[in-house]
Amino acid sequence: MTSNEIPYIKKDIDVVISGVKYPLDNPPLQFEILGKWGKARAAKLTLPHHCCNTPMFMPVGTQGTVKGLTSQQLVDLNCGVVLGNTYHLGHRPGPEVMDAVGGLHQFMNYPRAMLTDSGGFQMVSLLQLAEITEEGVQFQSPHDGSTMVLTPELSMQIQNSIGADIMMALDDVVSSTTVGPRVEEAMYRTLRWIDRCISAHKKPETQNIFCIVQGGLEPTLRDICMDGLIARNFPGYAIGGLSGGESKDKFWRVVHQCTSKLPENKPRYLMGVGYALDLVVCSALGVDMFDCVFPSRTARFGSALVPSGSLNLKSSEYAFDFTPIDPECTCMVCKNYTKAYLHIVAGKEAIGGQLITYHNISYQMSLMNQIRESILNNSFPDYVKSFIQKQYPNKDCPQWAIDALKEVNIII
Amino acid sequence: MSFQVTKAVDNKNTTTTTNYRCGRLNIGDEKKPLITPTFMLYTKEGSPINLTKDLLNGLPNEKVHSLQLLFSDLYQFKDVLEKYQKGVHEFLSLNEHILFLLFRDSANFSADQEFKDDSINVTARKGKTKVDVQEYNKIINVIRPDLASSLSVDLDWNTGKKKAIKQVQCTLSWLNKLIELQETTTTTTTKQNLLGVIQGCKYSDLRIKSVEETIKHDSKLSGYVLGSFGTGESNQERAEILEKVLEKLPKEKLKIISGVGSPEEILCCVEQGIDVFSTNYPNLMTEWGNALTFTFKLDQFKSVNNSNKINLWDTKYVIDTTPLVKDCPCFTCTQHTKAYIHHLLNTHEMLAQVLLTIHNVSHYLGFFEEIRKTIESNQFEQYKQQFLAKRLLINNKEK
Repeated sequence: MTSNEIPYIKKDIDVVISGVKYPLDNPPLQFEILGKWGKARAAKLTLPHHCCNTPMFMPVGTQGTVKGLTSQQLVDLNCGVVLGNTYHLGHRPGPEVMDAVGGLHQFMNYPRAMLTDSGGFQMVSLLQLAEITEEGVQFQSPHDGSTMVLTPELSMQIQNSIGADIMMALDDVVSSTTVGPRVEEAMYRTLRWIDRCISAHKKPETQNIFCIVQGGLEPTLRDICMDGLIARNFPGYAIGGLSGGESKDKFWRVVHQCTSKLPENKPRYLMGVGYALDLVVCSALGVDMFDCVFPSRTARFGSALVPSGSLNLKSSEYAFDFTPIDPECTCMVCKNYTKAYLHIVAGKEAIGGQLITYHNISYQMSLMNQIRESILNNSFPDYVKSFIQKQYPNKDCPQWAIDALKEVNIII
Repeated sequence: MSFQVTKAVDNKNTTTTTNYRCGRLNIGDEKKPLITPTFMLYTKEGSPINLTKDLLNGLPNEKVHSLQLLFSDLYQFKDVLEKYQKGVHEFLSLNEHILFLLFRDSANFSADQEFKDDSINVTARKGKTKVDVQEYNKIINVIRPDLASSLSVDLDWNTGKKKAIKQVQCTLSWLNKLIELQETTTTTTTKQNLLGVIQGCKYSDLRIKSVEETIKHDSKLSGYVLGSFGTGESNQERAEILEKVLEKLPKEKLKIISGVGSPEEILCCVEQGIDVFSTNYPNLMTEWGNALTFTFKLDQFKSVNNSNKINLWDTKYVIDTTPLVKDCPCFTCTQHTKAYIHHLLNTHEMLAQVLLTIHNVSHYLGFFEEIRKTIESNQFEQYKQQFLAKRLLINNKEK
């Protein structure tokens, strides 16, 4: 139900901001922390379509498919949440088709949970095609040149049609390397847009809305933004505007600041982060959810993820290597194919992309599983240390990671 | 290796000779029998296109598939296989399937393939290389497919007679040499199952000569590949040459044809006695965005079917939430809709090809299963007749 439909009677505990009542009534989400080590948490996140274990990595299926994988393979890989992109799906196939076919779950036949972004990120990635006003973002379609004004209302409308378990509020995104008044403007606009998002959300009983903390690399702006968002009591909070080329030292400090202030009993989602080291460090800082195109994109270029980093399977050094990508890995690819064979098809044949993507998603899933297990059995610092030992055997772990981990009492 | 004809029907009337049969090919152990007539899945660099192991083994119908490995593909990683030592099945993770090593690429027939008296030119990623019989013998002992074609080069149907004579002569002398090498240089454990290749383009005298000379080695051969078909001949021309060739080839041996693969062609060739087809027809359909929808069940010809194939690029599928083919048991049809596949094509997503491949290959496997069933139940001729009539009717309507 929305505020326009039901006459609203104010109760003492309610907060009304911009005419919208918070907290949202019974969001279809439960978040139960099962174990902690320092700031790191292992939790059960129950969404309308799936009960997920966090910390978790969410593969990106931009246009309704994680490139090259079937929805059955995603289930076989034990993926929980899969992402869809509102901007892309809003263009093709468009909300009318989504409504007609019964939403994205039905459309791509993925039985588990899904999350859609707001479309706002494309403000950054397609900036030359976008113009931002108080009303919304005006895009020019790269497909057919037509213009579309993405307002908070339209973003919600499209995301309601897509029907993901979690929708993201439309935020005013600026590149993380932007400085000056534009960052502040974007942060305040994000706060103004959030109430329009909530008002426009038509399916609160089946879809959750997460808000996004903005404010660039400015701690004071991040603080103001969080104050505004926390007052509205959302079912989950995302940390946005990072992972866009800023220094890692500034990156982790923003994450740390946010996870220190965001409510303990709500899931925290760090957007666009998916490198193994970032996943481990940010899990230590208390992040629960991550997404990134990196594992699948890098796979199509022939790069496989392993505990020691990544292998460029196109390199001739693997031409005669008859071991699997990762001897410890139990995925379909590692059980059946050697590096020597993958070397032949990596980056060249479609099957190469399919196989390496499969492995890389499996790697991400197993990495998150290990993080979660070690939090639950109280061995998280040991796990982090052994992870870093494997990734950086020459003791050249980046300083920012050492600093970040030290902040949460894990000494490398 | 053994091939057993399990059911054969010979009919000779004034106009045509029919000689169709079902068979069972056993390679080594009995665990992976190949039931014929069937077709080989098309591969690229050794892998069936778009089918990872889980998807390949999840296809409905039979569990053992035959795959055609292209010599020019495998030649590129012969050094790797040599060092690997465990053979191509293990390397490609295709142990449970039957691998044929062939020269003819059923997808890209190039009429200008070069050969000399002692060698052929193999075109690979890195350019052209000469391969002679000695080298080929060495390589097949490394690859160790289930069946390996003898060295041969397919030519255009209308090749001049002089070149066709040379083709037949070279193919024969290469076969002699290859058998000799196999007899002398390899132990019994590594001896390969060889396939003789019948050449001669459109010239029946050359074809007959090719057969007569090749079958002199029959005891050393596991079957025969009928070369240079699907290279520009009419159905009539093909049928005439096939009849002459098949009449003279030993009945109890496997017959393989490459480059011929539309449903009509398959039924005609099966009727004449072909057992295995090397074709990329299902993959070609996938490339064009087509899904095969033709009716292939004998008891369904009377139902109102609608299409032989549909093109998923068509915007009429935008919100079509039905499967490609109702009641099709494949993963694509049980799990996905036309609308989704249309969207995947439209957004240039790789999954479009994956899902279409699964369906098109499954559809063809189902078609062949029905062919075998109707042969077993003595209904093949009726089946072929009704099938062709129905397809023709729909094709005409679609025009």
